Amino acid sequence: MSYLNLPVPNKSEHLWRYTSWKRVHPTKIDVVPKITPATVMVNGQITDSDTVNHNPLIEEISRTFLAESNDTCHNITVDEQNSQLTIDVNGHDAMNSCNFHILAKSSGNITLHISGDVEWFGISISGHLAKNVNLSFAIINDLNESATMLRVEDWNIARDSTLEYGELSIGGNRLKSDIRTYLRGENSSLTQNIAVYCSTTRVDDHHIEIHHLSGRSNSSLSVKSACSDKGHAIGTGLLAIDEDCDQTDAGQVFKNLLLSDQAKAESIPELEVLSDDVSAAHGAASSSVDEEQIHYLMTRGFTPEDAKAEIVEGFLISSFAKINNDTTRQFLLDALSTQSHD
Amino acid sequence: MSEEAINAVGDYQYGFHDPENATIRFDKGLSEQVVRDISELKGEPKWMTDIRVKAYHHFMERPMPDWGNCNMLESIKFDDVTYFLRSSEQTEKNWDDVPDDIKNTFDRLGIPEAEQKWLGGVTAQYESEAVYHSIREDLEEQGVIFLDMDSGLKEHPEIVKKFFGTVIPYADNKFSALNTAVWSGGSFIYVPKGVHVEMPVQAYFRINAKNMGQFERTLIIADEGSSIHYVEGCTAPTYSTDSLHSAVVELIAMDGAKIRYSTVQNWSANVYNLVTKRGIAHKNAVVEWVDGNIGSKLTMKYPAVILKGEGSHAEIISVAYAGEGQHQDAGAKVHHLAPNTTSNILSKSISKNGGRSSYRGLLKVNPKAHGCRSKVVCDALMLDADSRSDTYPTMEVGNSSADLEHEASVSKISGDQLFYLMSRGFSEEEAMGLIVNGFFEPFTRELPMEYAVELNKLLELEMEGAIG
Repeated sequence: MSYLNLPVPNKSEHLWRYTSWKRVHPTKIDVVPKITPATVMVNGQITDSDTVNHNPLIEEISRTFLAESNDTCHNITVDEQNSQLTIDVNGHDAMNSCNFHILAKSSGNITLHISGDVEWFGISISGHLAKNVNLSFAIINDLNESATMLRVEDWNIARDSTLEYGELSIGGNRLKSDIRTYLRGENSSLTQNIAVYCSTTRVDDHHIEIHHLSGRSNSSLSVKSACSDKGHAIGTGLLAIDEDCDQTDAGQVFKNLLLSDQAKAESIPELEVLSDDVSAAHGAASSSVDEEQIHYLMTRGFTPEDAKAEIVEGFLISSFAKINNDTTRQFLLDALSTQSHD
Repeated sequence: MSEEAINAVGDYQYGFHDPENATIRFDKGLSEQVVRDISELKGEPKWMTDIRVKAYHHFMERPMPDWGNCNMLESIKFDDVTYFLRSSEQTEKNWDDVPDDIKNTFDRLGIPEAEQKWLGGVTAQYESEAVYHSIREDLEEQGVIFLDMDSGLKEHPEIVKKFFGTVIPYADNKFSALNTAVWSGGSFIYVPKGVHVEMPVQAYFRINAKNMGQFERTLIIADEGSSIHYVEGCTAPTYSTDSLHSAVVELIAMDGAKIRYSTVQNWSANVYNLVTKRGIAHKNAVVEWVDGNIGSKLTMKYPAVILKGEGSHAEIISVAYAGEGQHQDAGAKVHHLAPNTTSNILSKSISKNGGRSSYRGLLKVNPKAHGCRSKVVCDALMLDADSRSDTYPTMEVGNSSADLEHEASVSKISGDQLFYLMSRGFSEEEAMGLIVNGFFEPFTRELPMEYAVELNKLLELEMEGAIG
C-alpha cells in the first residue's frame, strides 16, 4: 500500500503514543516530498546508491514514507573481504535521507556515524545476518542541534548468529527511532546497548521491538537515558516471544537519570509471552543523581557541575561495557568522551 | 447443589442458579427511557437523574476502547442485557425476612455464617439491588454509616451529592459512563473522624438471572484519621449466554485516613467484568487495593490511586488466574501528584489451559511531586505452552527527585521446586498446588483468614488436572 493510502497513526498506538507522526513528518502529512539522498562514505570512499524500487517488508507508515520519498538504497555486504566497515553519512541539504540494505555473510563489524547540518533527516536500515555470523554494529547520531530525525531499522538474525548492537544518541532536537529485531533461527542472539543524552529541549523517542520467533534464542536490551534541562527521553519496548519458542532467554532494562526539574522520562517496556518454558524479564528505573556520589567526588576536588558530568558520563559509558568488539566499543566511547568534554 | 446442577456447572462451584422470582424486570436493551425509569423507580433527586442521562449519552457516543482484548469487547451485546431486575421489595435487616430462595443462595455461599463470626457489617446484593443489609450496633453508635448505595442516596443525599463522581467522573471511560447511567446497588460508607472500624465490612454481589447486567456503585469516605477494611466477593451462575458486570468504586481517604479494599472476584466464565476502581488519598492517607481475580470471561480492571496529599501512600496487590477461555487484563495505576508520596504495586498472575493474563499499569509522577518513591513488581507463571502472559507497564516521570523501579518476569514452575517437593512424598499435582499457593501468598496473607482459606481452596480446584 502506498503512503497516501495508509491511515495516519493515532496516539492509542504504542509506537506513536508520545511522538505523533505529524511531528516527525518533514512537511505536511498528506505530502510525499522528494528527499535528496545524503552523502555516504564507506571506508573513506564516497559511494553511490542504487536506484531501486524497494518495498519495505513491513507495511508501516515511517518505512513506507522513507522508501517513497527516496527511492535509492545503499547495498552493504559484510564478507571475508569486507569485514570491517566504517560508514559516514552526512546531511547537507534542508532534507536528506538514506536507505541501507546490509547483508552480513560472514562475521565483521560496522560503525555508522550520522552527522550534518540539516532540518530533517531520515534513515532506514534493513539488516540480514546469515547463519553462523557475528556482527558488531554501532551507530552514532551526531546531527546538528535543531534537526528532526526519523529512523527505522529492521534486523533479521538467522540460526547461530549474533548481533551485537550499540548506539549513542546525542544529536538533533527531535528523534523518532523504531528499531525491530527478529530472531528467526535457533540459537540466534541479540545484545542491544543504547545510550541517550537529552539536553536543552531535545526529545528522543526510541521504540524497540524484539521478536523471538525461534526457540533457544537470546536477547538482552539495555537503554540508559540521561536528561538535563528540558530534555525528554522516551523508551517504549516490546519483547515478544512467539509460540513454540521454548528455552528462550530474554531481558530488557530501561534506566533513566533525571538531572533537572524540567527533564522528563517515559518508559514502557512491554512483554508478550506465548511460550511457557522461557525466561523473560524486564525492568525500568528512574532516579536522580545520587547526592552521596556528588559529595564523594567533590571531596576529591570536583566542582558540583563537573562531579555531575562525570557521573552522567559514567552512567552512559557503562552501556557500552558489555560490547565485546573492540572497534565498535571504542568508536562509541570516543564519541561519548568527545561529547562530554565539548 | 443437586447432582444435575453440579454436572451443569462443572468445576465452578458457585455456578448454580435459583429460579427467577423478579418483582420488577426491565425489558432487555438500553435507552434513555430505561435510564429515566430506573431513576424514577428509585425516587431519586433530579440532579441524579440528570447525571444518569448525561452519562447515558456519553456512553452511546463514546467508542469502545481500541486497546486490550478488542475482539472480546466487540462481542458484548449491549441490547441483550437486562439493565434492571428487582428481586426483593426492600432491603432487609434480618436474614429471616429475606425471600427464601435468595436466602438459600447466600446460605450456600456462607455469608450469614461469616457475618456472625467475623464481620462488622454485611450488604448482600442480588441482581440489581441489595436484599440484605446490616451493621453492628457499636459501629452505628460511633456514627459509621454503612448502607446500600440506594439507601445512602435517600438518607444522606448531601454527602452523596458532594462526593459522587468526583473520583471517577462519568466521562472517565465508556464503562464508567454505562455504570453512571444505570447504576443500582453497591455500598455507601462514611467513617467519621478518628473512628477505626476494627472488623472488616463485607459486600457480596450475586448475579442470578441470565443476560443480567449488574452495575453497582460504591462510595467509601473515610474522614480524617479514620480507617476501614472493606471486603467484596462476587459469583454468578454458569449460563451459556453472557452477563455483564460493570461497577464503579470510588474511595476517598481524608487526611491521615486509611482504606483497604479487598476483592475476591470469582464470577463464572460467562461474565464480562469491566470495572473502574479509583481512590484519592489526601495528606498522609493510605489507600490499599487487594485485588484477586479468579473468574470471569474477560476482566478489565486497573485499581488506581491518586496520591493528592503530601505523604500519602498507595499499596496495590493484584493477583489473577487465567484458565481456559479467560483473559484477565488487570493491573494498577498510581498518580503521584504531591511531594513525598510513596507506592508499591505487586502483581502476580498464572496462565493455564490457554488462558491469557495481562498486567497493564501506569505510574505517573507530576512535576511538582518531589521525593516520590515507587516500586512495581510483576511476576507471571505460565503452566503450559497454550497460555499467554503480557505485561504493559507505563512509567511517566516528570520530576527528577523521584525514585521509581519496575521489574517483571515470566517463567514456568521450576523443575527443581517440583522435584524437591515430590522427593518428600507429594504427588506432582499436590506439589504444583503448593507452589501456586506459595506464589500467591503475598496476596492471601493480606486477606482476612477466612477469605484466604477460601481462595486457596479455589486455586486448588482450578489447579485440578493441571498435570498431564
